[in-house]
Parts: sequence; structure tokens; C-alpha cells
Amino acid sequence: MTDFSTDFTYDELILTTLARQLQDGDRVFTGVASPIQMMAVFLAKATHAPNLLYFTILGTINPHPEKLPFSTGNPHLFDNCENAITFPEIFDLANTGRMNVAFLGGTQIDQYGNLNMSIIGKDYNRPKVRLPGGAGGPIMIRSFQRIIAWRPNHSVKNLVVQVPFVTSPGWIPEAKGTRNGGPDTIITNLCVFKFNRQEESIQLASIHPGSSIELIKDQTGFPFKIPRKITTTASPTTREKEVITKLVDPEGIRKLLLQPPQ
Amino acid sequence: MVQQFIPDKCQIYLEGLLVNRLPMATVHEIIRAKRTGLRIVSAPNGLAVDQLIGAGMVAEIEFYFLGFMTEKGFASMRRFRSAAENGTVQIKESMGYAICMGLRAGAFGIPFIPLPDFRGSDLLTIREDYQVMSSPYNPKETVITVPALRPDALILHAHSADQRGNVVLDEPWSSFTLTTAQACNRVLVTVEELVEEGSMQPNQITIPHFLVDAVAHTPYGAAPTALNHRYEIDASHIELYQDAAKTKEGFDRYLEEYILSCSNHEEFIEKVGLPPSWVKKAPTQKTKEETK
Repeated sequence: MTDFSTDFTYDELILTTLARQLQDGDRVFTGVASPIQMMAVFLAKATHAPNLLYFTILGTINPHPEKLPFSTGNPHLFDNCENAITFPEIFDLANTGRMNVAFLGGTQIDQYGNLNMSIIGKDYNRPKVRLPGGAGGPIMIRSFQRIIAWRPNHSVKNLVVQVPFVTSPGWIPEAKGTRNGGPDTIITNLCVFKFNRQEESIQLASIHPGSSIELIKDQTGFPFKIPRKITTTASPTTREKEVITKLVDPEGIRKLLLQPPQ
Repeated sequence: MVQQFIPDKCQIYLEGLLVNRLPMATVHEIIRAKRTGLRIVSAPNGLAVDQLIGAGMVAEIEFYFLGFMTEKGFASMRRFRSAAENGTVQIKESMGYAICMGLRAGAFGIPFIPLPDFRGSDLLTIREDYQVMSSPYNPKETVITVPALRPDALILHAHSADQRGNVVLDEPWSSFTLTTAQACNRVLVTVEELVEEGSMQPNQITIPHFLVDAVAHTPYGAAPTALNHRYEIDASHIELYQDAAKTKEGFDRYLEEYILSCSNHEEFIEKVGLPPSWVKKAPTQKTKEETK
């Protein structure tokens, strides 16, 4: 019998929902600017996925940082690690099937699962907004078997019909019949979407407590299917809450990065 | 080091990652030497790139991610953004594996290198040098080739060097740093400490002396970014920079106050204060799940 907590906070719900996408034995990569995803991996490993192997962008495997960092490039992610490889070797391992799950985001995500981390605007050379760049995404999005995207600030501006620039490709005609790109799951501050690569469709999988189908429809640019029976995103268990607050992030830095929707 | 080895229009590879050991002392030295027309190839090294662009040193930037997380959320690189949005710097957008593989090709002494297929990415429309090819061994397999990267100079901050120029980087990333050093024509290193020749074990050495052109003893040379086992991020100074860099005027004031008016990195550190000491706790007790 799972002991679901009735009393939980937004940050606990998000970390738990991200962590539950991971399975025991997964070999998981988190990239640049991903402290929330990093905490979710630590949570999964300390609860339902003890045999998970966590690869950081610094190349360390299963680190135990002595100080939980805001940046996933912080050298504390070298602390007490089991092994270490280097950045390009993460790609090498994914290309040869030795790693299977990556957290990969996009400032914008469209109905084809394309991610944009490059520009907002019409002219690439004179963009309205220059974005940071796609990091490892353009190749990782197809070399990993499962891609999970965390997209805070659910809005029509970032969940769009079509991105102006495809940094990391989703479902493209050239890849028909092969391992296709795009995320499998998008978790936002309002809900969880599942992407079905075979059917090339997006389905609403669950709604976070406090959110509503009307709000999600209003704030989503791309089309998505709504199941007949709408489920609520499962609450954190008492155990998960305890692991988050006592083990993963006792100083509560997650609360600075995860603020509940207004 | 900069005077001798970094001419105008030099192509520079910047080592470091996000907030870990960016070669800030050398970056400031380049700005003080007023080198212009630089072509930068960078790891996710936002802070260094932003300052070089803001100071007007950069003609071209090849990159794959510029920015990093702080406790205030995502730190966007404002001088880079402004230059890109106004078209004042040549943008060569790439991706992590393409730059690493380009450096591998440079280190291996081959002109280009194939990557797994990533068609569908618009990077192929903006990078005419990235070519879609069939494998010569199996025409059904598609690869994408990228040219070798052979930058004129690698700029790196490391833990120590001996008097001969053997360099030690005290972190597990170091084997790729050697590849990078092999790809670059010159290797310019600032180090936290100089040690006696013969005091390093051969298997500790990250870059052997015959690949290293210059070493400068520069304590806190990565500050305000961190260095493994030595010092933490100076978060308050990074925040001060981020606030300043929101506008050109603010950046120019920062440039004058913290870079141009300091004659060297020691004066910069005197001005901003020592970075926080490295946090090292006694080993914590592992939970039952972790020890399984």
C-alpha cells in the first residue's frame, strides 16, 4: 500500500513526478542548467531506482556532492563519485547504446517534438531573442532511448505549433522507420504530456493538483489529445517527501528554483 | 603570455564548463591587451565569452551553450545576446558533440570526422561546413561530417604545473583536456601553484610539458568561477556582473572598475575579495538505499 501524502508542496510534487519517469537500472544523463533534473535523479536513486547509474555533464558517475549545487557544472559534482568519464564519452556511450535516458529541454517545444534552444524571431541572423544554444541536444535527442523534458512556465509562448528554428529534431520524415527524435514525456508546472512517437501525437497524461484542463488548454499552443478519464498527477509519498527534505536537498535550494504557478 | 602568444584575430579555444574553472585571469589579460578580431571556440563557458564580447574583442563565436544556473534561476549572457541580436558578432552555432569531435579530429591529425546522423536539425542549414554523407562502406548509413578544429591557442586554468611545464588538472575530466591540448597549436595555462620539477608522478600529469607553450602562476585564476578542491563559486560577484551586463553602460562600468583598472589578476582578487573556501564535509552516513 503506497502511502500518498495529502500534505505536500509544489516543489515536492515536481521532483517526485520527474523522478518517477526513471526506472531501476536506467543509465541517466542530465545536461547543462539542470539542477531540478539532478535532484530528481538523486530522489529516484534513493527511493525506487537504487541501481540507477547517474552520469553528470562533468562526466562523473553516481556522485555524492558534499554541497548540492545550483549549476550542474559545479565541481562538487566530482565529489565522491564511483567512476568518471569525459563529456564526449557520454555521447559515445549513448551512440553505442550504453546509456538510455536523458533529460533534455527546449525553450520551445512544438507539436512534432522539435526543440528550439537557438532563436526567437523570424530572422536567424537578427533574432528577437538569442537563446543559449542546444548544448548536446541535436544528437542526443536521437541517440538516447528515452528523453524527458522539464518545461517550467507552461505557456503558449513555449509549447508551440511549430518552432522557428529546430535545434534538436523531433519526428522528421527522414527518420521514419528508425529511432525517431523528440521527447517522450514533457513535465510542466501544470501537467504531464506523453509523446507517442509511432503515432506522432501528444496526449495529456495527468494534471497536477491545483491545475485544470481549461487552464492547460488555454496555455498550450500545440494540439494534444485529452483522454476520456483525466487523472491527477500522483502525490508524493511520505517516503519521497522525507528523502527530498532530509537527504536530497536539506537546505531547500529547490524552493528558489521551483516556485508554484501564480 | 598574452602579449607573446595571442595576436589580433587569433582563434582561441576556451576550456572550462559552466561555472567550473573558466580561465578568467587570462580572459581579463586579453581584454587589457586590447586584442581584437578574436575568433572564439568555446565550451559552455558563458561568463568568459560574455566579457570578451562585451569588451569588443570578438569577431566570431563558435559555441553550443552559453549561460548557467544560479540561485536566481538561469543566467542569460546579456552581452552575447545583444551582439547576436544586433548582428555585431559572427555566430557559428554548433553542438557539444560536433565541437568535441572536431577537436578529436584536430588532435588525431585528420581533416574531418563523421558523426551519427542528426538530419532534421536546422544546424545543417546554418552550418554549410557540416556535410551529409553516405558511409563509403555501407551507402544505407548516413553520417554528418564536421571539419577538424585546430585553434591557434588553448586557454586553460589548472591546479598545478612544474617548472618544466607539465600540467596537472585535479579532476576526472582531464583526459579530454589532453585531447584539446593536442588539437591546439599553442597551449597557454594559468595555474594555482608551481611545484618542483620531478615532484609529479608521471600518471598524474594531464598535459605533458612538450605540448605546453606557457605557464603563468596565477592563484585564483578561475575566480569568480570555481576550481575543484580549491575554491567555490563567488556567487555574489557573478550576480554583480550579471546585473551590470544587462546594459552596455553597466557593462562598461564593470569593465573599467574590475578589469581595466586592475593591472593583473592579483589586483582583481584584492578588489573582489578571496573566493569562498572549498566546502569539504566529513563523509556523511549513506542511507540504506545508497549502499545496496
